[in-house]
Amino acid sequence: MKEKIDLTLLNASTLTKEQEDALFYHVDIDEQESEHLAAEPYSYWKSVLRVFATKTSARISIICLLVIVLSMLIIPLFAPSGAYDSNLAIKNLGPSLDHLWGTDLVGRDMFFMCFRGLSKSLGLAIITSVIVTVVGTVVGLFWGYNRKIDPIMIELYNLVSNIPSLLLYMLLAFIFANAFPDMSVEMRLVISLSVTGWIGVALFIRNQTLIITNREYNIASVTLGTPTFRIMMRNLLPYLLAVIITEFSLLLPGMISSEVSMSFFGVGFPSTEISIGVLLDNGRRYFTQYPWQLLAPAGVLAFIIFTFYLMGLALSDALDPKKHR
Amino acid sequence: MEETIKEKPVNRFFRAVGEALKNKTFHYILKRVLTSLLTLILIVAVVTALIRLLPDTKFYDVKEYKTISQKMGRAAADNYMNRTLFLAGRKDIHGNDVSVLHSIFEYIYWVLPIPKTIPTKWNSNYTQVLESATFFCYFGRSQNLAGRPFVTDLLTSRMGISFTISIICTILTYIFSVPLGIAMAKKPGGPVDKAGNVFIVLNWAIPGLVFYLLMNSIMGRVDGIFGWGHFGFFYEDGKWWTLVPPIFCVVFLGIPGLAIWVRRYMVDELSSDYVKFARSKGLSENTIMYKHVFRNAVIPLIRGLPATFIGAIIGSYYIEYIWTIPGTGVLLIQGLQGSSPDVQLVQGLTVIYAALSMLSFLLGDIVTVFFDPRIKLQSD
Repeated sequence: MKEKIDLTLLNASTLTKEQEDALFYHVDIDEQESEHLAAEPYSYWKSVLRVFATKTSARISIICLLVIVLSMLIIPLFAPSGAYDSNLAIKNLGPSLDHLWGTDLVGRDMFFMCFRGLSKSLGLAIITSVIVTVVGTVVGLFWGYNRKIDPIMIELYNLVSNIPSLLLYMLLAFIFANAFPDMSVEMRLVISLSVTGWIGVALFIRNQTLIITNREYNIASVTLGTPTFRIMMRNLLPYLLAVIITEFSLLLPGMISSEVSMSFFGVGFPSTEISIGVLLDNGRRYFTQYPWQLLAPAGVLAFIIFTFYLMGLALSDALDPKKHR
Repeated sequence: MEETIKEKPVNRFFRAVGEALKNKTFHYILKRVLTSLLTLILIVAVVTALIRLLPDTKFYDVKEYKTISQKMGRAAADNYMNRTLFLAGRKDIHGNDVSVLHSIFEYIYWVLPIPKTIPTKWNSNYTQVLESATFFCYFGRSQNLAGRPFVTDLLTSRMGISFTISIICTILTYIFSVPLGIAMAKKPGGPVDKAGNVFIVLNWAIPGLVFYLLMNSIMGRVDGIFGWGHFGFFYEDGKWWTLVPPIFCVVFLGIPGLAIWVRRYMVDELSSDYVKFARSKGLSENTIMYKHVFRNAVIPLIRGLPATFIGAIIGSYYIEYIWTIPGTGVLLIQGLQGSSPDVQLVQGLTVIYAALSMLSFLLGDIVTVFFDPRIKLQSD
């Protein structure tokens, strides 16, 4: 069809008109071909998974989390009868095969006690974090869409954020404990930990909502007449979900710490219940004679906080689309 | 001639006031102070309303009530109860119940710096005031501590040690973390940065409570590796070295929080034009770092300084509780504990702490305005 030209001999100044034309040829317009994207299809969640899986910290934290969850599910099944009951005959025993982490001041098995306390503390932390995140997200979305409530909400935020949070939690737990003595301890702690925490999440979500609603793709959607609900579901939520997950994973260790601190100070769980904070408080009294009574709950707490902290870091990295390429 | 130029002092004063009113910084500060005051009043209202949820029996000594009723009769005991509840803001002077709003306004009146007379001692029938004291700010009175001291007195007498410890901790934290942050910022991604990051992550992942407890137990042992220091498990009055373990703990756990900010601000500043210019002039890296970049990067850190210092007065609950330091932080914990809590103490301390932390935020903002000439204020 066209005469072949030796490209190596090409020199723009010496080309004739025919030779120049021969360099190009017409292509038919192919509808299907033109719709095809040469770039690899990009899936957000796949990329998240890919980045997450390649991170060492993520792998470590996943393994640690599996260990924690499995041990919390399996270990209590093997608890011998009387592991949680006081038995003064076997008090203050050191770690041995019978009692892996020794026994406490009244002869309870530290190993099983720690995991029972852990499941209590962790369960409480998860419940409060879920409440705080859900309420915060809903309020934050509403707040982001409705700037009229700004002055009230900002004032509310100032009100809460101006008091040190542990002081606030302790004050609330203390008030609930004395005002409603019939309320169960778990209920009281959940309420006092979650009643103020949501406002921080709400402000964060509100800021994020404001940022995305002013992005070009969102304005384009609005201009094209996309219904608000669809915009929320398709434009806002995928972006916010990443932010929410990060927020949640960073919230959880804080909640565990707060609950443990409250129990340690005697404002959370009473000393008759088994929780990590109570175990820490009991263990520190005779640390020099029976160090395992403090080391066991402290080690478990450090391990779990470390796991969630690592996981939060890895997640926040993996969920950031800027780091996907 | 001079008489015509000289202005009357009164006029000069008014002109100065007028000029000050036009000043945008002044407007900003005034606005911030007013909103802070409003927030503070709201905090007082919320705390008082919450405290109102508690039953009356938490405010007076039930044992005392029984002793008085056995000795002096029921009427005297009721008088005792009513007078005590009046001082807690839950009843009026005649012993009638009051509304929540009344309680809130009463407490706000007591807290406001207006001279007011508060009865401190009654006769045995609790019908006559024997002694009364004049207060500017009345924050209530401890119910459990011996001699029923006033909250303000308790706070002033215990503030010294908390404040000293925290000032030392703040200074040490800055001394260690600022160079660490700068060293990390010099080569982002370099070996120092990586090592620092690992240190920071590990440090943050340690729960503070666990670290305090372990350090208390390890450093306190006489036959342990820290035995040479004779640190002891608890603070002893007059032995300054017993404060070494708590201060070490606070500084050690405080370093990453500050270092990571120093690093971030420094890295942000390093990419700016003036740094490139300084480099092209041939200035040494250290001169650029300490003389040019650090001055700009330090402004956000200065903002946090008042908060650190005022947080110092509140003290750290953990170290004061664990090392039994008679400071202000432990006061609150003691008030909250047990079946007979010290409600008035808790209420007073909460309000004072809230006021202090509001003041610190306010000071932080104001200090930033004065330190950073780039900040343009708008008052609208």
